[in-house]
Parts: sequence; structure tokens; C-alpha cells
Amino acid sequence: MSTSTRVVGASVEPAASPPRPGRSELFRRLRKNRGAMVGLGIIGVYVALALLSHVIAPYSPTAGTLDLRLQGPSRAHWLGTDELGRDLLSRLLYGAGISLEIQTTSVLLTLLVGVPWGLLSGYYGGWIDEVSMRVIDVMLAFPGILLAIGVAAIIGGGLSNVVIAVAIVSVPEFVRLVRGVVLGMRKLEFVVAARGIGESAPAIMLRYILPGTVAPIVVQTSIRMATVLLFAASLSFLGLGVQPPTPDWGAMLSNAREYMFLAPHVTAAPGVAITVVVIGFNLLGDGLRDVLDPRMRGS
Amino acid sequence: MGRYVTARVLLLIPVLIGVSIASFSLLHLIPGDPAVILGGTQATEEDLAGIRKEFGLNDPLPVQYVHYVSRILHGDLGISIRTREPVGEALVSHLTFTLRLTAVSTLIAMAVGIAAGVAAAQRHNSWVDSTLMVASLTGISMPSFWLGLLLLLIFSGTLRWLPAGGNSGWQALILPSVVLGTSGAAAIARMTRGSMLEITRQDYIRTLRANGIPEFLVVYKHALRNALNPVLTTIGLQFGYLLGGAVVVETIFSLPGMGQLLINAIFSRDYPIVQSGMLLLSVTFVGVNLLTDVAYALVNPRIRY
Amino acid sequence: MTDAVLSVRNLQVQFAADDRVVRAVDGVNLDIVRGETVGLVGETGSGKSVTALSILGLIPSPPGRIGGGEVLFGGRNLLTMPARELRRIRGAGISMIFQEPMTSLDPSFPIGSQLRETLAVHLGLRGRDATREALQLLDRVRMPHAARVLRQYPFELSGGMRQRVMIAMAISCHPTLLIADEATTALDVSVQAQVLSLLEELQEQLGMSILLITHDLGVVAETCDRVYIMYAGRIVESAPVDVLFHEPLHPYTQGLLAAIPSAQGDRPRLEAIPGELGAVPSGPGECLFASRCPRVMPRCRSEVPLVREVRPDHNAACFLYG
Repeated sequence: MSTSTRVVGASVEPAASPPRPGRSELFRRLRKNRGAMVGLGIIGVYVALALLSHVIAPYSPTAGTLDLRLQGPSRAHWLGTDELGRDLLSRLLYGAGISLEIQTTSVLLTLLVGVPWGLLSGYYGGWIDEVSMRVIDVMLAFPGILLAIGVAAIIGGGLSNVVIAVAIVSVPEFVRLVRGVVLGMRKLEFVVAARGIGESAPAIMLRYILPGTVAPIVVQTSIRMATVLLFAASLSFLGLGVQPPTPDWGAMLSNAREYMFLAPHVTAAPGVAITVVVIGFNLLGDGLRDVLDPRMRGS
Repeated sequence: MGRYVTARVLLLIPVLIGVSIASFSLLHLIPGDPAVILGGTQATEEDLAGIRKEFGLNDPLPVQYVHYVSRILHGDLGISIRTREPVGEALVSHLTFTLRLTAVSTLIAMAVGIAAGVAAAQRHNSWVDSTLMVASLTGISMPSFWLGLLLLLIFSGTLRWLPAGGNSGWQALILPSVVLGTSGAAAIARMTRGSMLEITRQDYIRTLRANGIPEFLVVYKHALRNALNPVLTTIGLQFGYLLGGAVVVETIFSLPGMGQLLINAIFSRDYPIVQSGMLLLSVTFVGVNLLTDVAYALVNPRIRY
Repeated sequence: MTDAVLSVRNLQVQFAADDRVVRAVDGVNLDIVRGETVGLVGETGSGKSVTALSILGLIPSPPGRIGGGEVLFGGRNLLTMPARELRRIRGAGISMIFQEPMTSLDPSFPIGSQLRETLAVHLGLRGRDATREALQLLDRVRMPHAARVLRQYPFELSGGMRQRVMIAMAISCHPTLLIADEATTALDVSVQAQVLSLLEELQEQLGMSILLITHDLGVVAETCDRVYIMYAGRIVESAPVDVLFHEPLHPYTQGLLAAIPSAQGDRPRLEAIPGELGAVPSGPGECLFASRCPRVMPRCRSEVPLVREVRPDHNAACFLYG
């Protein structure tokens, strides 16, 4: 980069807070953020592999030949085989599909429940808000994974129940987040003005307030995708989640545990996969936070 | 100060009530007849009638709830379906173990995390900073149970330094607390670094330097003190994460903690244990949060006013 | 000047911004004599604060950089002094007070502790000696309820009181020079007057010099002995206060004085200097005021005017005077 020396207004003080940047400006800044781009890349590869798993997996993830059990990586089986002779690479790929499904479905559920709840609670205040906040407090009185375990204890295991359990656990944070934004925005002049000209409450919430919640929601969603994956994997690891023979990364690690000392290679791939994907979502979330609202960095 | 504490405690009451309602409803939310759940599928009609009488299942729900709460307050945490013995003692001893593990892990996480965060902030944009931040990112992204397995493989399997499981006193706590401490340290390091970077930009840091205060004091007495404020407010939450993590990690190392107790109880459908276990864990978490809030207010006088 | 307490010679400070290098301070010369109050006047962005911060080495090093020059104090150049020695001068030989009292004190320590810290670092005072001295300092800056203030935290004090605490810290070690960087700008007018009179009183008592940095010519007229006018990183005029107000030489100074609203109703409109600092980028080889100057000449756009003594003890950098 060339440095040209010009005496442009020798201003040392930071400029007054700039007007809110347009969408193209945001994308430009995002592209410049290396962390976000790496994260996006990881997620891209992950999604692609997940969606194409049926096509590119060399073997069936559930059919195994016992003769071939616990083999190390070979040309036929790039990652080796597990204790039932199933190809680990294929299970990993199908597992990606399962994970992606769990993540997207549960986060979608969480948003569908949490965002309106936060909006209504924050906007109307009063007893609705009080009761909501007490309920949220109670939900938050159980540390995350324990709440998930508790819900799983009630509704049982299986893929759809994991989705529900993890979705429930994620709701409180989103409710609080949206509610916080709403509380802040309610006093802003343009909202007060809208009420003044008689706009209906739903209209105000949708047209004026909701757009202000988008940025924090986007950041939190990316980070939540990471958390969801970790929770779902933990549940499956404990046996409370996805049931065999469905290939889930957490369940694969649980199986691997029994044969860990005999065949350590089985523990490698699923763990690495989870870590890398979670890193990807965390990187994207961090980058989004930096770009969309540097002030949020404290949260 | 007293007023602040009283206010916080009062706020707790609705939460504790809510928690007790939640754990009480566990039994009733599970699909199926509570009597059958408690008695098992082998129970006869006679047994079931007896169970209904004993557990007051014929009463309306609010009445049952009141009985439940009064039992809890009298120290009766229920009877295991499997062993037909009171669960109180087992729960308390297992909970103590888990709390010990969590406490040690939290201390490790704080010590390592704060040191790393400060080091990274002081060498902002250097390779030390980048390395520490990559390490922290990995630390919060790695599933704790996987790290546990890996360490188990390395230290127990290959090197045979440490036992693979069971409770042999403090030795058994080493690996699990390293596992938990790592994820906690990673999160705390990130927070500390961000906070330090922000604080060192503040006006009062400039004033201190202009007054000739040595850089060492500026950073470690003034900047760090202020930077730790937001970090300390989340210690309670960190404890919660680690508490949950402990439950999972304990199952890997076969430790006699809540993890083993809870998970086994869930699989054997021994719901009284699950109910009371969740209740205790939650009450502990809430209690710890209260303590950290009070401790924080002690240290940060602005909050009290 | 031989009895100058502080001499700034050809100070150059640059900042890296995105892909440009900004010359915040471009060849500034400044002298302060013992016991006098010198005003450094300029609008926002003129470089006056950067000049002050550079004296004590408080410019954050990326993105800022000292490009050249000297700052002579007690016969030594502060810019090349090792950090440990510079630290001993900060707060003791030269002190500084800042603009924002609300954020300029560490919120986590009581006032007394912060005062005692400075006393301990520079004068080695501890324990009861330090507390006694801290109390005396607060009395000196006319702090009401001094004993209680020692135990209070910054958030419990008002802006004016916090500013007094800063002054107390600044004079605690009897500095030779006190730099006040817009120290009264954030205060309301009555408090401002109190602080200024306090500074004047302290100056008399302690025999210290004051470098008063401000954009407010009214304050300058009241308190300063001599004035330097700064524009876009360069000094454009300097003179004793009465001389400057009576007969401003540089068109910029003339514009500033003309812009002061008058309470007498003889002027129909406010006079402003057209244009804006930095709106039209200037090259390195011209007078930086050229694009806004009402008396600009062709020569102004092709040469840099240097500061010259136009009248005895009255300097200006303008081609109108040769």
C-alpha cells in the first residue's frame, strides 16, 4: 500500500458517530474481516459436504462388515472403520448432514419462539414482561447442558427430541436479547412518533423495531449454531440424543470410547469435525459482531 | 450494602419457587401414568393403588406441590425406585464431589484465563496475541468430552501416568479439572483480553501516565482492576457452564459425581433421583450466582448505590 | 530565550490513518518562560492537544509517531530521554490536566488513594504523612469537605470537584510547568471561572508556568501573558496578549477575533471564517490557510510562509509581511 504524505486537515479527534452504514458497506467490511471469511469458508465446506453426503459418501453409514472392524485408515477406508465395521468417512459425512439438520431446525424453532416473545414482552411491558422474565429466570437457573439433559429426560431421546430440547435451552438468551433491544428502542423518537400518529402496535413492532433487532440476532444466531452443535453432541454422547445406528458425531465419540485404547483412531475424526465446525461458527459470529456493532464486543 | 443483599435475595424467591415447580412437574410431564412410572411396569393394580396413596397422587396438583415443597424443606428428597432407599444422602455426597471438581476447575480457569488474556492484550497484535487467541478459540470450540477422551488416551493409555477412573482422591481430579479448566480458561481469556484492550484506551489511564505512575502499576494495578469487573460478573455463569460440563465429563472418567448419578437414573427411569438431582444442581447454581453478585458488589461500590 | 522553562523546537508529529500519513504537528516552535501563562489557541484539529501530549510523550505510538524536533526542559530533550527518566518528570517537573473530568479519574479507587499514589511515586511519602499532604492539597484547591472526599470514589463527585482533584494531583509535586489541555472546556461557565482563578492563585503561590491550551479566546484574554495561534499543525502567530488582541497580524487571527460575538449590538451578523479546516487538502509546499484566506496572494500557494519577527516580540507566518 502506498503511503502518500498529504496534509489533510490535521484532525486528531475521532469523527462524530457516523450514520448507519448501508448493506453494501457492511458486506465490504465483512469481506475485509479475515476471521469472518475463514469462518464462512469452513461453514461453506461443512454445508456442502452435509448436503452432498448422500452422493459423495463411498459406503453406507449403517451397513458394516464385522470382518473389517476397527481397522485403521487405508486406501479403501480413508478414516478407517468402527467397531461394527462401518466406514468412518461415510459416517462422518452423513453425520454432517444430521448435525446440520439439528442445528438449522432447532435454531429456527428458537427464533420462531424467542423473537416474538422478546418483542411482545419488551414492547408491552407490564405483567406480561414481569411473568416472562420470571419464566426466563427459572429457565436460566439451570445451566445449559443440564437443562437439555432434563428436557431429554422427560421427552426421551431421538433426533427430533434433541432438536426440541436444544431449541428450548436456547430460547431464554434470544428472548433477553430481543427484549433488550426493544426496551432500548421504545424510547427512541421515531417510535414515539409512530405511536403518536396512531400506528398500530403490531405495525410498529414489525416495521420499526424488528429491523433494529436484526444485527444482534444475526450475531447471536451464528454463535448459537456453535453452541447447539456442542449441546447436541453432548446429549448424543451421553446416550440421550440421536439413537444408533444413526450416525451422529457425538454418538460416534460415545461408541469410540469403549474401544478407545484398542483403536484410538476412531476418536479422532468426529472430535476434529465438531471442533472445526464450531470454530467456523464462532469465527463468523465474532466477525459479524465486529462489523455490525463494535459496541457489542463486551457482551 | 445490606439493602442490596436483601434485594437480591428477595428476587431469588420467585426463581426458587419456579425451580421447585419445574422439578416437581418432572414426574407429571413424562408421558404416562406417574404411578406406573414410579412403580414400574411389573406393578399390579394393588401396588399402583398403594403407590398412589403413598405419594398422594390422587390429590389435586397444587396440593401435591405443597406436599412436595414441605417434604423438600424437611430434607426428604425422595426414594429411589430402584433401591427403595432415600436418595438424600447419596445425592449430597455426589453433589459435594461435583462441586469440588467444579470449584477446582473454576479456579484453574480463572488463573490461566486471566493471565493469558492480560498477556495477549499487553502484546496486542504480536504472535503471542494471535497464538493465544487461536488457542482460546479452539478451547471454547472443542467438546469437553472429546478433550477428556484425548487426555485420557494420552495420559492413562500411552503414558500411564494417571489412573483411568474411579475415585482415588485428589489424583482423580487432575485430568477432569484440566479438561474443564481449559474450556473455562479459553472463554475467560477472550473476555479479559477484550476488556483490557478497551480499558487501556480510557482517559484515566492517560491521566495516570501523565502523573508519572510507573507503567507496571498502570497496567497491573489500575487497568487490570477495572478490566476484571466485567469478567468477574460472569464468574457465576462460568461456574454454571462448568457445572454442566462436569456432569458430562464425570461420565468419561467414571467419577462418583452427579453426572454418573443423574445419567444412570435417567436410563433406569429412577425419576425421584432425577427430580431431586436437578433441583439441587439448580439451587446450587442460583446460590453461587448470588454469592458472586454479592462479592462483586463488595468489590465494586458503584453497584450498591 | 535563555530563561525559558520549556522550549519546543521544530516539533513534528505524524499519525497513520488508513492509507495516509497525517501531519498533525508540522514544525512547531514554542517557548515558555518561568512564571508566565502561555496560551496555545486553535480550533479543533489544529494540533494543539497533540503538541501538548507530545511534550510528555503521551502520544499513543501506533498510530502516532514523533517525526522530529526537540522538547527542551531543564537542559534535556524530553523526546529522546529514556522512559524511566521521563516518567520521573511527568507529574513532578511537568504536570498535565485534561479536558474530561468525568472520565479522567480511575473509577475503582478512592480519591485519597489516587492522591497518595502520586505522592508516594514522586516524593516517597507514605502512611500518615501522605494522607496529611493529600488533605492539604485538597484544601489548597478549595475542595469542600476535604476529609470526606478522600474516602469517596470519583463517581460520587461532580465534574468541577473532579477537576479540582486533578489539579490537586497535578500540583502535588510542585511542578515547574502545568499544562492545561482544554481543562475548562467541559465545565459550565461559573465553574470554569472558579477553576481559572484557582489556577492563577496556585501559579502565584508556586511560581509555576502554565501552558493553557484552549479554543476560547475569552479565556486567553483573561489569563494569559502570551499567546500562540495554531492552525493545521503550524504556528501562525505569537505575541503578548494585549498586542495580539489590539493588532492581530495574521489573517487567521484577525478572522478569529472578528468572529467573537459582541454584546454591543453594533454588528448585524456573526462573522465566520469561510471554509473548513481540512476541507480542501493542501500540498506540502503552500500556506495551509491559503484556501480560506481573504487576503491570499499567488505566492501563498507556492511557498510555505515561515514564522518571522514582524514587530518586536510579535511573530507571524504570513507573506503579507515579507
